[in-house]
Amino acid sequence: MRSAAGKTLAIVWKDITSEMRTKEIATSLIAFALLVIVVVSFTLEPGENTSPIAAGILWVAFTFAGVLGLSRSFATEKDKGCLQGLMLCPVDRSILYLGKMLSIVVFMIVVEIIIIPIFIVLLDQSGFPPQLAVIALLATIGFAAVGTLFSAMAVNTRAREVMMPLLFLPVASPVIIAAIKSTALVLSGGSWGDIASWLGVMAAFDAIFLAVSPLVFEFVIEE
Amino acid sequence: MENWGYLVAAYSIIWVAIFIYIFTLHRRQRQLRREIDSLKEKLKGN
Amino acid sequence: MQALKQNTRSVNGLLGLTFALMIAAQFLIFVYVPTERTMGVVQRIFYFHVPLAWNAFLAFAIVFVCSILYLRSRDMKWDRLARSSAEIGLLFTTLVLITGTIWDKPAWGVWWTWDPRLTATLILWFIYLAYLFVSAYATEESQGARYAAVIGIIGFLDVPIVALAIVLWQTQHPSPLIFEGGLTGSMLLTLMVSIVAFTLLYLSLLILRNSLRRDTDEIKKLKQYMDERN
Repeated sequence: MRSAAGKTLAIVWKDITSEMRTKEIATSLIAFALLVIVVVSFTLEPGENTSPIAAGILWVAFTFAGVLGLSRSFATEKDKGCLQGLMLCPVDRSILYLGKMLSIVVFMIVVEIIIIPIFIVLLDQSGFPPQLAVIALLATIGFAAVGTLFSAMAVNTRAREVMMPLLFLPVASPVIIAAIKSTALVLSGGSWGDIASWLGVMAAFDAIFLAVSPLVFEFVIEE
Repeated sequence: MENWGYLVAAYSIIWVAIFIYIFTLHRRQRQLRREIDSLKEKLKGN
Repeated sequence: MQALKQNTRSVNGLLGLTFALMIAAQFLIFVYVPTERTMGVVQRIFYFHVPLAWNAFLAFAIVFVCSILYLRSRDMKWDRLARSSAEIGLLFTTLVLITGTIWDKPAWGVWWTWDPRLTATLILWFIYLAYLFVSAYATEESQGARYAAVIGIIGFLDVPIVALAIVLWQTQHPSPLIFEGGLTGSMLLTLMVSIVAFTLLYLSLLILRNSLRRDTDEIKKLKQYMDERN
């Protein structure tokens, strides 16, 4: 029998390979994130693309794309009946959670890697600050930690498309705030020290919800 | 005594809201009471 | 029937106490306490705003505890108590937002500011909403109870982090909203009495709402039983 890590990676691999075949999720999320950036930029006058505003636009785009991607994550499972298949496996529920969560992190990171350079060009930022990678990673983990849980819940309720953001956005708000504020700081040349406390907020969020979500996940997907 | 109006507004809103809530609860309680009575009648009938 | 009579007596006692203390609080708030220098009469909203906020938080703590107890025991009584507390918590949170807004306008000249108190309260409002939506939109009772309980737990754990993030946000951009001076003795007394009065009000409302829910469930079960018999 495979180890816990092996089983987790198997789930992640399954999601990645099925995505590689169609590439539909990644491409639509990237297109969507770009569209959000473009549309919100309509509100800007020339010279208004300051770091705080640009940071806000970037994270609004990532947040909306993230919500979309998260909703899709369990929707396809449920529709194709894969969820029941997965649950029949003698797998600990928290491993199921971890696997889904990691595959979402992978998807979002792919989207972010493509979007961020385009964003820097579109909004004429001064360059790619390396801290942004860490900010994005911490934020993505936070999104996935609660998003996976809420997506699994939303998919089983009525009005599932709207339920997911309704649950996710308020709970994830500290991560969104921290991501926006720290990105704004580094885009205008801030140092690691400047964003330390924001990174701390995201790290605390990630730690707490990575610990709690797997525990409650079983209550969400039991039949 | 400027801004007196704001104080009155806040105060009224609080109590109106709470009383509407209590009143709604009371009304539903009465409906329930009526249902219980009608159910009791049905049980007696059976 | 005996138990029902006893309960009604203690509930009536609670209601009476709530009423009495609330009247006392009104007197303190409007007659006893002196008008604050900087903000004038409007400042008295403080004596409602803070107790409402405290109870909004207490209501959520109760939701949290009941959620855990429900997931452990699957006894519907915990779910009922949690949902009742969430409903009242939403009501109080709404009032906190409204009184906060009404207080801000004459005091600082703007209807809304993204200051820590109000923003954190707004987010708490949305978390309450999420809780109530999930229990309403579930496909069946037990699933709704389970899902709501999960939100109750996650949401409550989220609140300190939300507070942390927002306070951090504000320390980097200090707003001009500072409560000048400390609290004098009379202000403290008034505040304390008001807090106790509103806490009793919360408890009274909780008990009323919960017993209504319990009776509704009883009737549903009774109807089911009668349908099956026929």
